[in-house]
Amino acid sequence: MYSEKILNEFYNPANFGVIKGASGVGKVTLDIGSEIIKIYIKVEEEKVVEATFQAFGGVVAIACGSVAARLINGKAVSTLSKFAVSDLTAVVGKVEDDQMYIVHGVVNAVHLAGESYYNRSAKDED
Amino acid sequence: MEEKEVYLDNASTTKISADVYKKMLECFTKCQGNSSSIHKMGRDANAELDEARAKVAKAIGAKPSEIYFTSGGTEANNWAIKGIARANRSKGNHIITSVIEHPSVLESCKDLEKEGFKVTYVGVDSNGVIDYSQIIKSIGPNTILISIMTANNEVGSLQPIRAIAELAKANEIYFHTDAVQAIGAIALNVKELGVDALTISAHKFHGPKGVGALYVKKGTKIDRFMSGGRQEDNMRAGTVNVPACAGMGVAIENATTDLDEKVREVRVIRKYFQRKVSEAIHNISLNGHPTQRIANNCSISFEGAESEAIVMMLDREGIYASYGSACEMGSNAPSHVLQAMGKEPEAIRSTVRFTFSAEITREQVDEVVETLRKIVKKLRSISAIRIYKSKVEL
Repeated sequence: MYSEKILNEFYNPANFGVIKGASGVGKVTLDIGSEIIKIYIKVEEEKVVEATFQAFGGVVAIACGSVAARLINGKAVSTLSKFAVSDLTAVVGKVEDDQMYIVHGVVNAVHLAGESYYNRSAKDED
Repeated sequence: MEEKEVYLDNASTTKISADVYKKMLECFTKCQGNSSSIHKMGRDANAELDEARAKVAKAIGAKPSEIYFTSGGTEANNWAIKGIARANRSKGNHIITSVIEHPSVLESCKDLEKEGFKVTYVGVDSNGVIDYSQIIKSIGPNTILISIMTANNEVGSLQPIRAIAELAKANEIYFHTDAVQAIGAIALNVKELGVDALTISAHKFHGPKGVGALYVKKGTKIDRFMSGGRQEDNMRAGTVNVPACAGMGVAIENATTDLDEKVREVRVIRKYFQRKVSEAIHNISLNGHPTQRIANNCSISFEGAESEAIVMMLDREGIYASYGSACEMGSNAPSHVLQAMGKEPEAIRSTVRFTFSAEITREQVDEVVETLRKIVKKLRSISAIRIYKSKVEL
């Protein structure tokens, strides 16, 4: 059963969709429930100026994807690697143990989006 | 239920009908005796039980003495499988069932495996119909029991139980069928079908929850389920829940009277829903057999939109459907039935089950389909799965 907080985020998702020409994309596919989570970031001067998510998943995936995109917007891209499960649960409240893999999946997608930005930057420098 | 609410989860449970409620209330208030007591109050309660037993028996073509009341379908399945297997252990230790059975059958078989029984789990085709040839091949000298459901609870596919019953009889093997989804959906006569044991659950046909029955053909070797009392012909101990059994009696009588007409009404509304959904929403597929299915079941996969998200968004609009079965809700594991049918993980994860009753109107269906269309559109706009538009007619 879900908390009011997480349901509110699920029913009112924001920042979803693709960023065309994104500076970084993180994609995670979860084996347990076949969820797919994507985080897109647009970076200017080492700062996330736009973040969006896409999720094929249920309440936790959509709510956490939406919250993650909101939280990382405006942050220095260097801080994305420190984005943590507790950042999400602070907003959505307690998530059942058997659904925590999805929260971890969203966090991983944020990390991968940051890494993807640095990988692309490194390639550009090459 | 609120006026605006639409209940499309009748495979999980159904609403108690007015005359079932009336009968139960009458029992609660006028017949509080223990049906095992010798005095008048006990005899009155026992008379209610006799009447209920006769109604259940008549509904499936059995004798009243072959009907045992239980706490529901799960208990009846546990009892049938464990009871027959253990009582016939000296004849053999092999059981045949299918991969799409209810968890109460599958887990009963798993329990028996720990006792040394061998179980063959036969597969199904892409329509969710069991592979009959696999049953034939699986029969061996040690086979003592076959248990195959009459109709699947997730996708509604009807199983060839008449043929399996004949096969079992020819090989002197007991045959049990879990008919929980089939009572009130198809005509069932245990004598004509030739089944040895059959499971019934009252709340699936507008009866109360917490009561069911196991039909056991006279002469079937089966161990008793619970010890500690002489109730149910010394086979199932425990004070009998008379109001619930009486309610089940009324419910099964209602469900099986004018069956064809009732089924036709449900089929018409379910097909109307299917047609409307296929007109309104692209990239969908119907699960289960296209024609050999119970009338109320409509299991649809909505490509790119996830099941739980659809169900929860419908819930907010007062529309109640489910994904998988109620017994497996909350589990992250994909549906064992859809997996067995060979569906891809993403298709399984985008499946919603709508199960109808005759109470649903065309106006309600129109509203549901419009709400569903908006929800699927929204979820597809959020989805990380890109879909390539294709339209099908269900």
